[in-house]
Amino acid sequence: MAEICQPQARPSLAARLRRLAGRACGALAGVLAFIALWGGLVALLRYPPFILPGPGRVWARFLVAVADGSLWYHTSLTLFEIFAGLLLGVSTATLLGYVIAKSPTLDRILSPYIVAAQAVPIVALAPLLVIWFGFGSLSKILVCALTLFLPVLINTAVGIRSVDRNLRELMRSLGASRWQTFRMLEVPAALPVLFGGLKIGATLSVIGAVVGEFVGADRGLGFLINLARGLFDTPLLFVALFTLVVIALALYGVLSLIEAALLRYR
Amino acid sequence: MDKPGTSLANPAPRPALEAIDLTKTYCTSQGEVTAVAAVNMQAAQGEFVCIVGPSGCGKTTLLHLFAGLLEPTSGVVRTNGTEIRGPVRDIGLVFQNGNLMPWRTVLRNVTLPLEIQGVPLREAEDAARGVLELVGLRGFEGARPRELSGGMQQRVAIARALVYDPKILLLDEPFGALDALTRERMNLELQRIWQARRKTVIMVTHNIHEAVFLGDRVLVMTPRPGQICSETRIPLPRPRDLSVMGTPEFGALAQSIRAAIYE
Repeated sequence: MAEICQPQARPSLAARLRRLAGRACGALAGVLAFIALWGGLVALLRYPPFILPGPGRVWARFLVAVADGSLWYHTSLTLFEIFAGLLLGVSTATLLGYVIAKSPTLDRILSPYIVAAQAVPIVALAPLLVIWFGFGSLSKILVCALTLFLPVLINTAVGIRSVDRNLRELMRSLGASRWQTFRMLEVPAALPVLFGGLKIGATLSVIGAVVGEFVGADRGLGFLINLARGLFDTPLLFVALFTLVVIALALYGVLSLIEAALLRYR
Repeated sequence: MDKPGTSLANPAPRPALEAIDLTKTYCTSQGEVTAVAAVNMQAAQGEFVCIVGPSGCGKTTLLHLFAGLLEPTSGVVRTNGTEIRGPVRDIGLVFQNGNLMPWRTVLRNVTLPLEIQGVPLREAEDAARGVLELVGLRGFEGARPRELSGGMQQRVAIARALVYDPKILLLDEPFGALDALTRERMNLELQRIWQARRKTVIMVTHNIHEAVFLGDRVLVMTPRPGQICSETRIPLPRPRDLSVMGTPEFGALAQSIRAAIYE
């Protein structure tokens, strides 16, 4: 048969590793260039360290913060708040997004409240949550969950709504139950859009946790930034900032890896 | 040429599928549209019936009524004497564009109907391998739909409809998106599969040659409102090969159907 063609071969493991190594080298070169530029600028313009410390000073402060355990002490709590906030925010937003996608009535009833809740700046809402839920982790987890709520919800609703109508008809013609349609069609079909929301949510969760800590906390990276600012310990402020960046990048990277593994068919 | 309805006069044993005064009206922003108007037709056990007509004449609506995906405004559809009120296991529908799940492999696309019926995956995969072999796709079990040509995707769709062994196969312009050469080859394949599996087939198409080549009977449907306006028996012997298209009988049959469409 003339139309027969060989199914595309997957690239070999060696080729994939080589490509991965190439990408890692590129990223590393970018980081080195950034550090060089930063160091050069500081050396050239001779800012006092409390305004703009050089990479060397920040590194030294990092080592001190690691050695005395303070960095991990604060980071561990922020990480806990981020994960708990992600879990809470993503689960409720996905559930509600699905419900809204399936029921136009609920969509009309709930949407105004959801949008209103999201229109209030989270920095304005955070103090209220701290008053209600105390200075502990709970208020931060709630701020974090609220911050990522809307993008995850909207992506879920859009993802479920955009499931191919013909495939829905197919499932119906085959007599599939609601649960089967959900499991075999809606979840895999909406997955690409779902992951888009999840990636936005993951980065927002870092912001949410820090905003919560800014408002009222005695521990966490947000608190550490506040503390460093008060002490004019700008190198420590940079250490905290970079830690946040690393957390956000790691979350994003892990999600991208899971996404790539799940959506290999594309 | 017989007039529609005359075949009802000689009562055969229960037809595999019959439509009685089948009407479907849609409410649109432009008011009511009658997509299917008082259609009477039937298909005997093992018969290959083709329905031809221009785009938008209600052919797809008719098939979806047969498949139980739509509820008729009035009239009934019966299969072996029982009224169809929703999707049933005995009827398999092949959609226009393949309609495969891009995230599933070819094999798992074909196992889908069995998975829905609760057949263990192992068993389902064995059955799927069998029908994939029948449609000539052995060796492509692990491929993804996007790696296949249009004709191959359509074969997968047919395999998916065959895998749970429905008695009636409804085909909605299955080869409409294919080039003329691939289409002819697929027509041959479909005839072979139909003869191997002895199913009742109702196929909708806008290609007159395809209809005459494949059908035991060709019904012509006209739009606004969607009605069956003529019925032609195709007495060409089976199995037919492509050379039959060059014969005068074939030409005459195609011409009479064309005349009925433009009447």
